[in-house]
Parts: sequence; structure tokens; C-alpha cells
Amino acid sequence: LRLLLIEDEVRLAANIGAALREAGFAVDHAADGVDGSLLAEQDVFDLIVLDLMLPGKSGEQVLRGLRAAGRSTPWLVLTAQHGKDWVVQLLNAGADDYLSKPFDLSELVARVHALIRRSKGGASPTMRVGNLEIDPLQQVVRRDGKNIDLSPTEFMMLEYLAHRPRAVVSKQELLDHIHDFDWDHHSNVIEVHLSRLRRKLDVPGEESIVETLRHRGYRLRVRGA
Amino acid sequence: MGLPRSISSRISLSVLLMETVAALVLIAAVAVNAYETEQEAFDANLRASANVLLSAVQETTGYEIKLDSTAQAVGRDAVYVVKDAEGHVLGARGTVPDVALPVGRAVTRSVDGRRFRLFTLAGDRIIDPDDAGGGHHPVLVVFGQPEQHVWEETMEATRFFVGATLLLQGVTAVLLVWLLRRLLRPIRDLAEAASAITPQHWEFAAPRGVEGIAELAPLQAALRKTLQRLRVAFEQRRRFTWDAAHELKTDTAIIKSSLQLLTLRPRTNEEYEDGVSKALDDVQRMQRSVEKMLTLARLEQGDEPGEGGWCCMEKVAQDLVQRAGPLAEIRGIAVVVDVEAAEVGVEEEDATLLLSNLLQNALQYSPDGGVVQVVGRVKDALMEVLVLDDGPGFPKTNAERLLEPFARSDDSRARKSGSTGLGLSICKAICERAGGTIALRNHPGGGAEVQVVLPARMRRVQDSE
Repeated sequence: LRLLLIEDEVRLAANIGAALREAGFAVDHAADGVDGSLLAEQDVFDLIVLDLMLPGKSGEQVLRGLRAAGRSTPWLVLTAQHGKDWVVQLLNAGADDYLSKPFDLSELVARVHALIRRSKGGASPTMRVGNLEIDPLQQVVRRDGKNIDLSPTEFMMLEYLAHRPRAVVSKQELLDHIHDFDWDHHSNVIEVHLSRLRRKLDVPGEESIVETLRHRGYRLRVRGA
Repeated sequence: MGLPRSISSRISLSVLLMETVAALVLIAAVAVNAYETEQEAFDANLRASANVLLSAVQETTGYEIKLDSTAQAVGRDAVYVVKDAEGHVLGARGTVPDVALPVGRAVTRSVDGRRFRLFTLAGDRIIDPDDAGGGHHPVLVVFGQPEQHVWEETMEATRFFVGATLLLQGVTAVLLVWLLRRLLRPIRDLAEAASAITPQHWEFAAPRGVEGIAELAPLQAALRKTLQRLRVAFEQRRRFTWDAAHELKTDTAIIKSSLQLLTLRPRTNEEYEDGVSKALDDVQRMQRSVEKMLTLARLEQGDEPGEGGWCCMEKVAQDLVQRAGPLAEIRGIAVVVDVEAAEVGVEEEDATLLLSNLLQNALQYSPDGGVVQVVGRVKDALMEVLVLDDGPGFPKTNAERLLEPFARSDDSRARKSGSTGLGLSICKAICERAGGTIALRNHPGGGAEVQVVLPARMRRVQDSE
């Protein structure tokens, strides 16, 4: 899954970015409100982490602008200000959750997971697809209680597909949501990772867990559902 | 000792005191006048009594006289003596001092320890020539009464005035207290309005009935002016505290996140070392922020402006340029210094801080291969120092805002590590403390121009230029 981090303080952005990448997210970074707005408009992010004190354009302006444009991406807001009124104002502006500085990185990661889960319509921290159990927090996939070893990119692809069961996800969408701009990608990168994923997950003699629909995209096949 | 510190008590006491003095003078005048009047009447009475006595003497027969019945008529405590020319006492009552007394007027003499008023009357006693010793016999009648009577009458006459005065004093006191309380009420109202002022509520509204009072107008004006100044200063303090807290919170967040990143999962030794050294950098950054805040606090709360020492601006500029040399060289920036040899009214340490902040900004914003100039000219006991660069200049609107603590120019792409937004406010504080000024503007050729004006004195007159 792909996140956008809008934070002007370079050291803080580096640390938050590193923590989120380690938690299995692709992370893009914008250092001011203007860049942040432009990036956020692209609608390829599954969640946006926003600092409120930004040069150029304040975080609240960015938030209101994007909400007014009808974007439903969940927003986690970072603020150095406390106060009930301020929180109310933030939530009214369209924030889904907030953290006060200085915060715990682990709490930030946990909240990001929870917000994504909620925005994808899930309640349980783990997702079940057939006999597969996907745990985004620990980044593990289990079948019948046994861990299956996946690379971070493979896991991210599976996670994204699992968040949208029965929906067809285009190759471009998949590409957009699992890689940040820094990623060096080739045209067939999705196919390469997908074939590896199938090799690890598929049970011999059964249909592949990831279905390919020609010219349209991919779909997770949910058996016995 | 001393009077009470209350104005109304002082006024009341002063008025009552003056009234008392006036009353005493009046009473004294009345008493003197009454005494004189009473004495005149008393003396007339004495004369009349002496005459009565004389006629009584004339009416008696025989040389020896008896005046018992007459004595009854002249008063119980009267004394008299009737003598003939030879000094022979013809009749007497009480003791009359046996001395020569002026005839025809009253005098005061002591008789048995009591003060008596004595009147001496000379007359002729005509005894029937047919009787023994008949013919004209001159006699001297001395008649006296205690002077106490005069005093009693005087007191009687004065008593009314004393009573009236006392009554007047009482009425005045009551009226004064009432009047003063009424008149001083606006002061109390004003005090109440003033005490309602708090840092949360700066409004000062003159209470009704106070606005039109001429005596209270200067106090109100002073109150308003002071409040305005306090309010501005308080707002600045509040803003500074808020910004400083925000700054430290951000720094704390950075340090915390740097360390927490290490704890998220097991790391290799190399990763730990790298992480710890980054966290140390973050701590150092925070330390620099705190030091700058303390510098600013020291400058803003220091001694009286203009009390500092003097230093040579040219030397400060040359030293700084030498220090900045290597950095400027790497970026190909030429630093030109043209400062007159004069002393400015700033401690050398502060002058260095001031100029180094300005020079750092100029170098930071100047493009590679640019020119940074430091020009200093003295005129009318003031030195104008200009620091110019050929960078992008200050934002066109509201450049002065950058002099406020924690302000950063809007076009900065991101919060650069190490920049706290305090540098220019430290410069401003140094200038203002020395009684100088600082101004930010863009010069026509492009680039930023900072103008600093400081009090100066020539160290040595040099006309070589």
C-alpha cells in the first residue's frame, strides 16, 4: 500500500518514512503544502500523513482543499497543538485521526494500519482469503497456521488485492498503490512479482489464487466463499 | 506620628483644624469684647454703688455712721470703706487695702487673696451746722466688688458662641465626610475598573461618571497607554513562549522518532551506530535552538539600552570574513568588506553575533559565484552598515515579519535543519538594545539588503580616504 507523507521537517520526515517503509508501505514525501496538495490530488495513495505546520500552504488548507475536491483518502494529521477546540476543528476539516507531537513511531504505524483497515471496510486486524490468513501488522501470510515466506513487494500486492476482494484491479492501479516514485520499475514488474506470488501461494492441482483477466487486470479468487 | 495616609482624612482634618483656629480667634475676640463691655458696666455699677453709699453717708446723723441697711442693698460680697480727710474710718465692711487709690476710677486690687475691683469716690459730707462738728467735711468712699463677677458675666456672654461653634464643627465634619466620600467615588470606581484588567481581559473602560473629570483624565490616559504597552509586550511574550514550545516539541519529536526507529525491530551494529549518531545530531540541533532562545532572552531582558561597551565594527567585519572565507571560497562567492574605522555602541561579542547572522544569511541565499557586500559608513554619530547579497531577496510583502522570532520566509521549501528562525530577531534585539535600528529590504539591482544603524564614534580622524 502506498502512503503520502507531507512534512516539512526533513529529519522527522526521514524517520517517519523509514518506519512506514519498514512496516511494509511504499512512502512518498512532500516537504511543503503546495507539493503535498499536488501529489495528494493524484489519488494513488491509500492514506496521507499530514503535518499541520507547513510552509507555503498550511496543512489545514491542504486538507480542506482535497476534501472539497471529494477525495475520500483517509488522513492522519500530525499536530504540535493540543486543545479540544483544535481537535474538533481538525476532525471537522476532514481529518480521520490525529497524533500530537512528540508521538511514538510505533503508535503512528499502528494508527496507519487501523485507518487503512477501516477505510477498506475491514474490522479485524487480519484478513482471510479462502484458507489464507493475511496479517498486515506483522506482514505475514499463513495457510493452516503455517507461515508462507513472501518478499515485501509480494506481500504488498497480496495485501492490496485482499483489501478489495472480488474487485478487478488494473495493472496500473496495482502499480500505483505498491510503489513510490523512487522505485525503479520496468514495464513487466507486476507480472514478475505476480508469478512469484502465485508460485508461493498456489496449491498444485487447483486454480491460481490470483486470477488474470485479459486487458482488465487481476482479481483475488476467493474459494468456498 | 504623622497624619493618616488617607486623602479624605487629611482634607477633613485640615478643614476642621482651620475651622477650629478661626473659631478660637472669634471666641477670643468675642470674649475680649464682652470682658470690656462687662467691665465698663461693672465699673459703672461700682460708681453708682459708691454714690448710693455716699448719699447714705450724707443721710446719717452724727459723725460716726452706720450703714447696715445700705450695705444690704449693695450686695453680699461687696466691701467698702468711708474715710474722712484725716484718714479716720467712718464706716467699713470687709477689708479694703489701706493704700492710696486713684480717685474717680476703678482699679483692681487683691483683697484676702481675691481680686477685687475698687472704685474710689471723693465727696462732701454736709453735716447740719447746728450739730456738733457741722459743716462741710470731705470724705472718700472706696467701694469694691470681686472681679469674679466680670468674668462670670463674660463667660456667660461667650458661652453662646462656643456652643454655636462646636455645633458648626460637628455639622462641618459630617458634611465633609459625606461630601468627600461622594467626590472621591470616581477614584474608587476607576480603581475597580483598573483591577478588573487581567492578561485574559485587557479592556479598560472608564466607568460612568469618570470620563468627564478633569483631575482623573491624566490618570486614565496614563492607564490606557501603559495597558497598551503591556498588552503588546505580553502578547509578544506569549507568542514567543508558544513558538518556543512548538520549536522544542518539534525537536523532541525528531529525537524521539530517531531513537524509536532503532527500537522498531532488531538492528545490526552498523545500523545502531548510524542511528545513534543521527540522534546525537538531532540533540545538538535542539541544543543550538535552546542557546539561541537564551541569547534572545538575555538581549531582551538585559540592562538599559545604550549601556553596553564599544567595539570597532571594521575589525569585527574583517574577522568574520576571514572565518567565512573557506565556505565562501568553495561556493565561489566573493565577500567584499568596506567598513569605516569607527566604534559602534555594541559589545564586541554582540556585534560579532549580529554581523555573523547577517553574513550567514547572505551567504546562504547568495547563488554560487555571487557577491556579498558589507558596507559601513559613519554620519552624524551614527554608523550605517549594509549587508547585501544577490540572492532572491526578501518576500515582497511583509518582509519586516522576518524580524519576529521563529518567522521563516514563506518561500523556503522546508524547515532546514539548523535554522530556528531566531537569527534575525537576535539581530533586531542587539540593534534595539544599543539604541539602533534594523531594516530589511530588497535593493533595486535584486537581492536582499539589510540596513543596520548603530550609534557610533570615530576612533581616529582619518582623512586619507
